[in-house]
Amino acid sequence: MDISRFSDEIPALEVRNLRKRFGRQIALDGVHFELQQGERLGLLGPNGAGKTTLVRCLARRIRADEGEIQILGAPLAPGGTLSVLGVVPQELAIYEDLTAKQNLKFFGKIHGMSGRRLRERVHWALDWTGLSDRSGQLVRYFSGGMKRRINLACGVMHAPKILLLDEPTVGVDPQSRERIYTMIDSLSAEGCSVLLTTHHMEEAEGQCERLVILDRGQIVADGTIDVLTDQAVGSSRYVRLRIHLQSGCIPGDLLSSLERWEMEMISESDREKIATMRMHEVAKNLPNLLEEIHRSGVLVTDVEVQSPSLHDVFLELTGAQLRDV
Amino acid sequence: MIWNIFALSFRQWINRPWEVVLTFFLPIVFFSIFALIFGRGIRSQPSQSVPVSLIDEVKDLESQEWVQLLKSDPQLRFDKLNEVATSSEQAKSRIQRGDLTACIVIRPIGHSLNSDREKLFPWSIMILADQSDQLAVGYVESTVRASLTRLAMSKLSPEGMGVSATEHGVNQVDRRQTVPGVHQAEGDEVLLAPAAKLTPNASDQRINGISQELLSDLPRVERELDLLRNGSAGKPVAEEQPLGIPVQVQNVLDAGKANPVVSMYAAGIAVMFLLFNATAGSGVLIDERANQTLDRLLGSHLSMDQLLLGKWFYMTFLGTVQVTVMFIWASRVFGVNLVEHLDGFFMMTIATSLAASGFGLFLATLCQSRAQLNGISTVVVLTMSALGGSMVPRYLMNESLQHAGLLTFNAWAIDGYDKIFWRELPVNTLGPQLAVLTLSGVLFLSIARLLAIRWESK
Repeated sequence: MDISRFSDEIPALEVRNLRKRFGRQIALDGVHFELQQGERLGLLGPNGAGKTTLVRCLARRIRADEGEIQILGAPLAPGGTLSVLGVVPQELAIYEDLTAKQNLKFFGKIHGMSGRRLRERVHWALDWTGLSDRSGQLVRYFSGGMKRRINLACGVMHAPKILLLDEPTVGVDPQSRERIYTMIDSLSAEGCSVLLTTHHMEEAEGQCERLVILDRGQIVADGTIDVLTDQAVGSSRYVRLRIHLQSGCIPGDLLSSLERWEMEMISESDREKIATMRMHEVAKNLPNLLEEIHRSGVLVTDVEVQSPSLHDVFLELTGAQLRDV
Repeated sequence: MIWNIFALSFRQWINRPWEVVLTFFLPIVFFSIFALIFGRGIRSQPSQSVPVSLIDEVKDLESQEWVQLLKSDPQLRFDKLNEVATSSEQAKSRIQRGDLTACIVIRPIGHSLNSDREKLFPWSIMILADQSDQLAVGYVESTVRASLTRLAMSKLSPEGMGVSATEHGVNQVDRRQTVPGVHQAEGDEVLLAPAAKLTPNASDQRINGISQELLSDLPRVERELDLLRNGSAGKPVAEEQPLGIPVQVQNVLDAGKANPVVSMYAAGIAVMFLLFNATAGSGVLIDERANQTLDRLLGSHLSMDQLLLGKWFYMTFLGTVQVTVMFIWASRVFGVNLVEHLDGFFMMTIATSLAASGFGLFLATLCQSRAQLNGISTVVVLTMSALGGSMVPRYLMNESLQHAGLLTFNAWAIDGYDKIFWRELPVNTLGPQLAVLTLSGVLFLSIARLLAIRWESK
């Protein structure tokens, strides 16, 4: 496929109404989203949401029952998108009994590379992963983070335009994770479109420009973090109050106020309580709440207002903690 | 704490149903196989006859009578096909091809008749044999000696010796009917027509002496024959000659070669390890599937056809090298003549490796996990090796087990190597073995390809 003739307006990847069943279980139920050229899109969802199934569909490892996938404006067809797509699976899909260089060479070769071009890409990949000095060492002796980097490099040996990353930082230490993020950054800088599958909120929040949240095979949200936050929790903020009860018990009029504001109360001691709640229009409502508390003779010792995190958005949209299904 | 560890181990074991099955199934399978081979399976029944041919170059009354006596032994199979051999050379050729186990040649004594025995039986016996089946050759030799002794005894006793040969498994021939002229004389009269060479003046003393010798020899021969019939593959009858009748065993295939058992075991062990290595090597396919490397491979320009063919050729190459190294060792240390049979050796080794590799891929694509593959391959490979002759020579098995063995690669491969190293047959005789092994390899590879469809895009 000659991708140079496509304009930047054409999405790198377009998924329309994708459906896939495994027996009676619905894995994908009308999935629909786009990945723009050069964009970094996070595919977020709890375990069993259908993320890996979706990635395998995009990588042509699973045939969807219904729907359409377009790569740079052309339908996904066998053999037609090999040089455009790069796939980095969740598992370490490399050969541990080969050296780093041998792995890179092999995966370059099966993508049709040879000669000078292959040597250049191997050199680039070793440099990119920071493993040039370990190129002749068997991968089995590498640390988890180094293996992850080689795993990533093997998926981009053929310089794909679209990269599918399935949980690329599973089981690695923070330093290695940062290194992998840097590697992904450099790919993005070169114009590579990245679809990053993860269930790490921080990873999705920090590494992706836009997020698609998948739950039970369906897209439940699609947009930037700000948009998702607005969609999920609107203008509400989390408010946390530390209160001191001089008598040791909550006065009756305050109790009714707290119930009205749907506050949750946690006891730190007999006299110290923590009250949390989600509040809309904080600027307007918080002074009113504080006034009510003050009138009841209870002392507020601390006030904290938090913007909702992606975690809150996620919980709001999926209605559950990350789960195994 | 000890109990906790015990309970933990037990629970882990219970949670691996495949291992539970193997724990009980595997010993029973192997016990049954070896019980079949060594229990009822070894040649101990009269129905398992030895294919032999007979050439009578003397054709006198005694030799013909002896031939009849010999043919009455149900454990020697003188079928019409085997009687085709009309000369020693022809018989040797047929033995070399493996059509015959032995050929009994009755030869006239080349020199003047000196002893009484030579006057009584003016011939000697040559057994042309294929010593690769040592049990059968030992049996033939013992039978020949026993029947010669019995014939001699009957000739020397006017009343017959009164020994019921049938009690010993050899039918007595009614001499009066089959050999006219026998026992026409009494006492000091001429005993036998050809034995007329024995003068009427031959003394009773001399005859009695010979009879005593026979009587002392017969129990020994009968004992050894019984041992062979009962499946104790002991040493063939000793070098002593019954009544001085020369019985020579000539190993047709023994021209400076290593013991046949060495080349047979080299082949047997080679095939068994080819199968083990092929299944282990094919297991990489399961690992690749488990860690998603297969997805990555198939997401490239590589197709499943190319992947399987690549693995097939690689395992064939590795197997060929492995067997070659083993035969070089066998050649250096045990005297297997590899250098002069390189062409046949490589043909057989490549064909066997192709078959083993195809089979390994078939098992790998059949199984869902490494553990399953390990379990199945252990059972299948050891069963094939036991039945196919890698562990126990097939000639020790009964005929039905020998036929069952032909369902395994091992038997075909061992037969092929036997043709090369023991029989020294030209490579064009390897056709059946090469065809069966190569086609099996292709067939199993094809089945593996069909099974691998489920691992492709679905």
